[in-house]
Amino acid sequence: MDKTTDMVPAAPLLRVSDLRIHFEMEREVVEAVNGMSFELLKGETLGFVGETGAGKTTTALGIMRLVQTPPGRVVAGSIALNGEELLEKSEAEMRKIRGNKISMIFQDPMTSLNPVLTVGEQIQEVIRLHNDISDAEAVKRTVDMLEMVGIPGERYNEYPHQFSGGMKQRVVIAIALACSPELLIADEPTTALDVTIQAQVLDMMRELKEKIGTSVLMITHDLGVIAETCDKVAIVYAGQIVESGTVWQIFDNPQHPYTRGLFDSLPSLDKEVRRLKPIEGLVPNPADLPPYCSFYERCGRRAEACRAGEPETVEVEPGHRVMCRCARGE
Amino acid sequence: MAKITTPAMERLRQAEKKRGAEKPGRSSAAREVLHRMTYNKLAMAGLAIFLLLVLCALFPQVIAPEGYDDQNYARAFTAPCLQFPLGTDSFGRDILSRVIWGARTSLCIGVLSVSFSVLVGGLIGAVAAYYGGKLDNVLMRLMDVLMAVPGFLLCIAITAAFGSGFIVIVWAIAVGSVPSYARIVRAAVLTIKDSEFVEAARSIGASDVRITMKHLLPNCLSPIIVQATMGVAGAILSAAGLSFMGLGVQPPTPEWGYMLNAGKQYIRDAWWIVTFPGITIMAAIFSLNLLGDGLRDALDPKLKK
Repeated sequence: MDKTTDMVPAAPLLRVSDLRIHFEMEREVVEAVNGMSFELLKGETLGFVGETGAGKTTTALGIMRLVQTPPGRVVAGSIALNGEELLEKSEAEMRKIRGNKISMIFQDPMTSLNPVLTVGEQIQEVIRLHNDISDAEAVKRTVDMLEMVGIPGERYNEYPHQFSGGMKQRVVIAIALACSPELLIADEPTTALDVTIQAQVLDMMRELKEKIGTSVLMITHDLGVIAETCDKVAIVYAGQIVESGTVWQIFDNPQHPYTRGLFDSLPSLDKEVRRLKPIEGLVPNPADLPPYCSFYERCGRRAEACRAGEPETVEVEPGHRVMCRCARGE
Repeated sequence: MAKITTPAMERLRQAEKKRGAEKPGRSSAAREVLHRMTYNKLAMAGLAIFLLLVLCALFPQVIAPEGYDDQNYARAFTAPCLQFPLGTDSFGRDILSRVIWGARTSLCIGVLSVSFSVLVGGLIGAVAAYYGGKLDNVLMRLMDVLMAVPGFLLCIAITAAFGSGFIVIVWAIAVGSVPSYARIVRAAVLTIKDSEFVEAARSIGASDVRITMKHLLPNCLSPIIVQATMGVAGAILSAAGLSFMGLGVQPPTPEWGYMLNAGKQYIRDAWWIVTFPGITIMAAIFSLNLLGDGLRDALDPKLKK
């Protein structure tokens, strides 16, 4: 499929607007996702970057409607897939969507496969759940899926513990792609793998994505993975998207102090840097977020005006949005 | 995307075509467990003894030289000899025959009571763990109440209240062991219900029932099988104990525990009357425990390739 022609402003595949997800505990309310809005076009890959606990995974689970309730609750917002509101769907309707239209790859392939079922059975399960086909047909499609991710079909009957980490993650990818979903959510798909396998898995995901025409929401804290795979990037901090744009916009012209901080804390090959500059301080406690910019405490460019209230989102160049007061002046 | 096609793959495809709709795998899981168990000599010994007992229970009329109640006072208290390898009892009944017929009673009690408590206990445990909260609390406190009463005392109380007999014994033993299965299943479900593969199953659109049946319970299966195997041993022992006290199966039904009871007064003069049923009880329980241990090792897919 030719991606560029397909990206002419059509209706987005996924439109998330003002999503708010809170975890209501006995003593406190953890505000995990605070007004997240983004769009994902067909065939596009959007990268979600942020620290641990920034709300990336919660957003992903929110889209799948898999946030554990209680204590989690979608407080406000809308999630539309192909214009259909997912938050209004019944549980039975959601079950038809999960694995079929939206599927997810989890972080740790070691634990995301059922240890007592063979990999073949696990791939077959999703195929049978969403397709009414005969046994022979299901087996054939399972073997095809295994081969598509580069695992010989005769390993159909083997158990997950007989596979290496990279192969397990490929099995997980095979499960996720078995029904050719429209949206694939990859939650740190390579974090648990070593570097050589990372590249292999990422390459494979990209090829398969193009083959099937799936849109991908790539969650990671690795900017390298983003540069490698994504079309667009959203920088997530304390449950909000603080900066978003195309990969080039973000990498060449980072505007938000947090984004800059992220790049400064990476070693660079072209510049001689004696010491890396980590971002000072810690992520604010999501149970006790300030009513103003949540990055204020750690920001090198903070001013009294920052405490006036939530910063507005500014579009500094077409498609490149920054949620910072400082970005306005430029 | 390059498809990997190897000669082995082609062979698999051909085989697939030949077999038609037959699903690969499935049957091989049990075979693999058995295969792994063959390396365990002790477990195989246990299995052999247990299978022998099962054969006795299934076809006593073929295996046993006589019926279980063929009395003949003329030959009472015969010591073990060629004609009566295990001797005869005070009524002149062949002890070997009675031991063989007794396997049917004991194994039936063991298997029936354990099946009942596995089903009920497993269901209670799975429901308690999966839904949690108040329901969990209520169910498990009920189980605690049952557990607070010593198992054998509970059996005695039930048989005393409802009278002795085969069915009552099965019930009495089953009720007492429900809590232990409930706890095992609950603990097993709790440890895996939040694991990532359960979430992954949810993310492919599996329903609660499907997740419980296909992902949760199979993962609890090995502790259940192990516990159930040993539970059969415990049930046989309890049944023997109850019969020994006269609360169990009534004569002339052959039952190992009752045979012990009937023979105990002659122990000085005719040691074989109590010894051989006793050894049989021991062998049955020992074999089941060995089998249970072996199964535990064999069922763990992580232990061995």
